[in-house]
Amino acid sequence: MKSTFITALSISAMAALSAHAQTTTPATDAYSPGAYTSTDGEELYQSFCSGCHMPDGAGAEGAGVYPALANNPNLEYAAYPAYIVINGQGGMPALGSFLDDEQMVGLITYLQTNLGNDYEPDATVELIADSRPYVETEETAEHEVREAPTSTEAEAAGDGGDTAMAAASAVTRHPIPGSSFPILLAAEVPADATLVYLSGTVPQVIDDTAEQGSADRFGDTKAQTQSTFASIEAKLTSLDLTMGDVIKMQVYLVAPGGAEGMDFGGFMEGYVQYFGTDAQPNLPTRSVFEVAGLANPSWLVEIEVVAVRP
Amino acid sequence: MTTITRRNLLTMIGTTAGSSAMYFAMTSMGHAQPSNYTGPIELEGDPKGTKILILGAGLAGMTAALEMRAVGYEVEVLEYREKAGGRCWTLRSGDTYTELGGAVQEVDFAEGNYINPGPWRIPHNHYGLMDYCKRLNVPLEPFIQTNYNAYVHREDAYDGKPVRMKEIMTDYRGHISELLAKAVDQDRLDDLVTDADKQLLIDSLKEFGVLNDDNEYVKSLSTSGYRGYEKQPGGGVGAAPIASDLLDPSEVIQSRLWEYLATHETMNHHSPMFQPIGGMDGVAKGFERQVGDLITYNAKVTSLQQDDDGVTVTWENTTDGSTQTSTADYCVCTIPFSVLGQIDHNLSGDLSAIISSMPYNGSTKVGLEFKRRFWEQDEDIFGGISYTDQSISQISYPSTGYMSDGPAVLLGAYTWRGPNTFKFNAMQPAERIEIALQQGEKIHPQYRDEFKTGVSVSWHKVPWTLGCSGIWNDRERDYNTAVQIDNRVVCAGEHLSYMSAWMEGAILSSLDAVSRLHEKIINGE
Repeated sequence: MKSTFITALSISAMAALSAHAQTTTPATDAYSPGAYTSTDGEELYQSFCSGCHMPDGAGAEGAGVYPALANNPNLEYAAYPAYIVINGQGGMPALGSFLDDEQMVGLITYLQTNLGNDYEPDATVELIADSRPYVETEETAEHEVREAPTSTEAEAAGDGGDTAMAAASAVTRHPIPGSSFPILLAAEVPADATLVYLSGTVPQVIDDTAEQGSADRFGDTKAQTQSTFASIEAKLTSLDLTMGDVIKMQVYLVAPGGAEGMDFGGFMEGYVQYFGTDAQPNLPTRSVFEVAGLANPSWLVEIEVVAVRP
Repeated sequence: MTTITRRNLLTMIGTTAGSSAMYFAMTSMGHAQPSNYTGPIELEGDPKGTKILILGAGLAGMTAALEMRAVGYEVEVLEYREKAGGRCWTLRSGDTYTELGGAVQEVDFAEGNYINPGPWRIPHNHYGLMDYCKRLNVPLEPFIQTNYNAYVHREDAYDGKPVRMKEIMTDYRGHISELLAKAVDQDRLDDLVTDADKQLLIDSLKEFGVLNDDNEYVKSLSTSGYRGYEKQPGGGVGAAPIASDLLDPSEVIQSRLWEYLATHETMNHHSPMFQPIGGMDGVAKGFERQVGDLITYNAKVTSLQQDDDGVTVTWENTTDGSTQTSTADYCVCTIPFSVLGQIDHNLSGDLSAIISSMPYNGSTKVGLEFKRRFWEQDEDIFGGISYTDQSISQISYPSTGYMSDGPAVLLGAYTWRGPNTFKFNAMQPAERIEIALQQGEKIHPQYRDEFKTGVSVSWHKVPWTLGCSGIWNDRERDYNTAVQIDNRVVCAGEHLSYMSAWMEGAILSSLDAVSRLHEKIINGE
């Protein structure tokens, strides 16, 4: 009896061993050595992630813990797990190099829709590509070095011969190659352009009947994002500028009460109403930070923008 | 004409270039130890009852405990496990190991048999560890790293049949020596080799590659003397040796089996290597004999706070669930960053950022016990390692108990990072053992008939570390910050060394941390 587990070699005997596991583990006869080749999310999860996060996503606890992925609100939007899987976190190594974009989509879709999670899957190969560390390709490097002095828009306008005039007239917006994620790789601003810096803008009260300090007063991250952008738009209008003139944005988000981290997905829902739309197609460069707190404890969002006067 | 002996050469260098030049010259000639271990540390000054709290009773923690008590500190050690040693660990008959996820393995090896899931061999040039083995009376025996009669194997080479390392090594060396000797002889390397050196180079290639007078590597009793004979020389009637056939040069190159020849040549694998008699935890037990009375076991640290007055550590007694507090003037923290990053602490921002961003790598080992030593009895392999391109990567035969009857344990798999490590990590223990058998039997067909029992350890599932060893995202940028004393706390361990995953790294890191902390306490710097 002593050696029941370790002498159990048939797969059927595995059931006794995995009493703790709610789902099956990969069968040894299905084992393929070397690189991960499957694009099936469940297969990838069970042969890769489940070692630490466990087959049922329950996580594990020793001297430290492996977080549970089951019923995990951080999985609501694909951007978060994509970032973690690709870049690692804490003791977890960066795993992005093991899986291609399609495999990542399969894996994250599995996470969002299984293990007790029931989120609308939103992973796309574009999102994954955008989440990967930026590696400068030779083509991009050439582009930056050789085309920087002139603007493509100026060339299109036939002003290529007069670089000073051309520079004054336009910003070059470099999209992220192969990605539809709605931010820029880079914004190229001519030396003589006028830059306009707006102070950090914060949310507006959307329900003044709500108690002071309550979460309803300013709304959730999405609502606060919307009201903040509405304020920014009003400020820009007063300066004779538009949202389309914004080239740079820094976003500070606070984790909503009870949540483990910032609601990036909620922010994105507000953001895409103002940038990359048919009416306002221009995109800015952007950074998003999670911060411990803002001046008002009810605020979850503060946004700074820089615009170029056209 | 003056003869330059080694001694008067050293004198000349010492006179003209100063003593540091002499030291480096001696090092390169093999006289001095090229290590920052300079012998037992000598801490001077009375700490006047200053209390040190040490977190972790692995080799770094116990090194600190031993040395700091010796100079007069009051020392308390907290350890998560029920025993000392941390990753310096041996599983033997009767042991029970529960990995994360709950799978329990009861080790059913025969009495005296064991497997070292963590460190398993000691390079002779790991001077700190070797010195502690001597001082702590840890008896060592040779660990056979290099065995030319063991196999090299790739599934796509030689129809997936294993080849003796001596054959690949000799033929690889012989064939490339022949090529090079011919190139030199035909004046094709005139740009690279002076006329004066040409003949010397050819002479050396003849010796290195066992070439004949025509600079050819051919089937002969000479080459068989290196690669093995068709029939070995004997005595008495019919004792004449018969030469063996050579492997085809192009096949040797294409086989890629030469990939496995260089491992033995690295500093960390130079012969002789050693192992403690009876299991690697002999090292842990050696330290524990000295400092075991200072260690509180089953203590799970949950908080590490420091202020101007001291250090306060909150911990859970995992046997009864109670919450306890320990205080001290200073702290040596050897908790792996994979765990420390999850503990509530108020270490400074720069250090904290490094702690929270150090990934830990994975590794898998599988110990297989067989009913008899078929590798010795059938294949004349006594210790050493066979290498394969399969996931198990190597099979290491026991460096002890040769010729004995009865069951013996070999290392049936050893993965290091990479997808195979994650795949093993996602398996249950019996599945890992089954894969080790499936792959190992391609090298040793006796596997299935002779298998008795096994045990496997995947380091991401080890509860007290959550991984095998620390990986630096940017060591050049972060190292000096990570090793600084942060007010009253200094971190130490293999992760804070340039010898990641080696016991020597843990010991040297700890000795350095302890020396600097003592200096600060005594001299206030």
